[in-house]
Amino acid sequence: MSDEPPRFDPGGFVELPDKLALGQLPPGRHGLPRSFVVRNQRLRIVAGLLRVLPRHGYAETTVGQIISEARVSRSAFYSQFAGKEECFLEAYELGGGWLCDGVEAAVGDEPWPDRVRLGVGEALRMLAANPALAHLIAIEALQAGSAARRLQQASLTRLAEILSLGRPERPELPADLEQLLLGGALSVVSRHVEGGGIEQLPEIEAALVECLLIPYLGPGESKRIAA
Amino acid sequence: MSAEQETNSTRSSRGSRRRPDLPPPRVEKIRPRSGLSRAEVIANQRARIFSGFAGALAYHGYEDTKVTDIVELAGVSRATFYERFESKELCFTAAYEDGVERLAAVVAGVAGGERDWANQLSAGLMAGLEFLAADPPLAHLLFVEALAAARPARLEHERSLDRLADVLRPPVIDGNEFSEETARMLAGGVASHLSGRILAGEAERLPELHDPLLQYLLAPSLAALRTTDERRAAAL
Repeated sequence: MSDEPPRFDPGGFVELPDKLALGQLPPGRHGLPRSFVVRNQRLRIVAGLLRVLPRHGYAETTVGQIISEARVSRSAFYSQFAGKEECFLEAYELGGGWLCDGVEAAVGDEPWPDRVRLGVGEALRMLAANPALAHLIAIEALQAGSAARRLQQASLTRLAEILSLGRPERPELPADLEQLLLGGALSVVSRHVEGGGIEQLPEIEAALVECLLIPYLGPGESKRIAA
Repeated sequence: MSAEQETNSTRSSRGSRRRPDLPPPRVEKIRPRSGLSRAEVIANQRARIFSGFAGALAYHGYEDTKVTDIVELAGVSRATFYERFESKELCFTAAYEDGVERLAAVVAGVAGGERDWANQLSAGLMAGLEFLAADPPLAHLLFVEALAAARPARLEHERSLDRLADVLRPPVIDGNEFSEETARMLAGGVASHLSGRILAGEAERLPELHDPLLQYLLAPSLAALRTTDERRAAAL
């Protein structure tokens, strides 16, 4: 672990000076283009949702809590989103995409089994460094209905590609093995997040890599690579 | 925008309050003076409340299901509901536990008749999938709503997955003992796959998943056997 894991911050996605990107734009004439202001506001609302979610959970989170956290008006919220679910879906899309980008960058062109180890390690470190995102991905996404589930499937499909690319040819393995394995891995992660172990997630790296590789390589070889 | 509009927007995301295809409750109501004991009447009421809860959940989702919806489908009075359960949350946990026990009993009964682990797994899996396919609202309650429910119910679901993991843990093969995480990943993968299919409205077709799920569950053991064979072949 050479450098600090990156922080997920939707507010920081807007290319504005840090001081402005995170906070409220100054009222009145600031000379910023309208599209900038709108995007800034939208991402600030998403960042607000991310902060309140771990406190209340998806079901109990209200638009009132989100807007007070994001410091925007109710009408500003509804000019951006139809409701809580749409805002949640955007948060998930940004967060899931950010996580997949990080994992893809971390695995690089390494040989296949090492790629799995690097990807799992990076994902766990990114989640551990961003508890609100871990909460969103591992717990809340399962509560927000079928649209959220489709987004989750899309993220898992992206990660499944890393897992399947370069794997040994085994005709007896089921077609959606990677999806099933990653669904299982996510469930192991959820269990740790639910139990309050977000910061300890990197500790399960070896165990997770080992069980992801077993169907392809068998127990002995998987243990060796995971260690 | 008012609070009322807010509620409406969450409701509409799950579907409207009333759907014409709402299924009738599955448990027959007992006629008055049926000659049943008090315990039997209570058991029947509980079963009706659970099934009413499952029916209501499939339409409104956990968050939006009200006790009014449950008692209407169950055909019991509000007073009876609150005599049996303190709250919607406690009733959900009881309904969940009841469903898991019934599912586990069906699976164990069928698997017990098989000789070896792989056949137990295959038969148990089919029995479980058929049980869920026959009762889509219950499948929805167990695999979708349990994840959206209040935290105690989610923890109960985690415990069920641990229990499932114990059953799915492959036997020791050639000195290779499979880890708790491997077993838990098998259980979680199956549950999350089922949950996706049920959420997509395909609960009735769950038995079609038997073969790919069985292949998934057997993959670690088969890989262990394969590498053992390869080592033996290399040693010859």
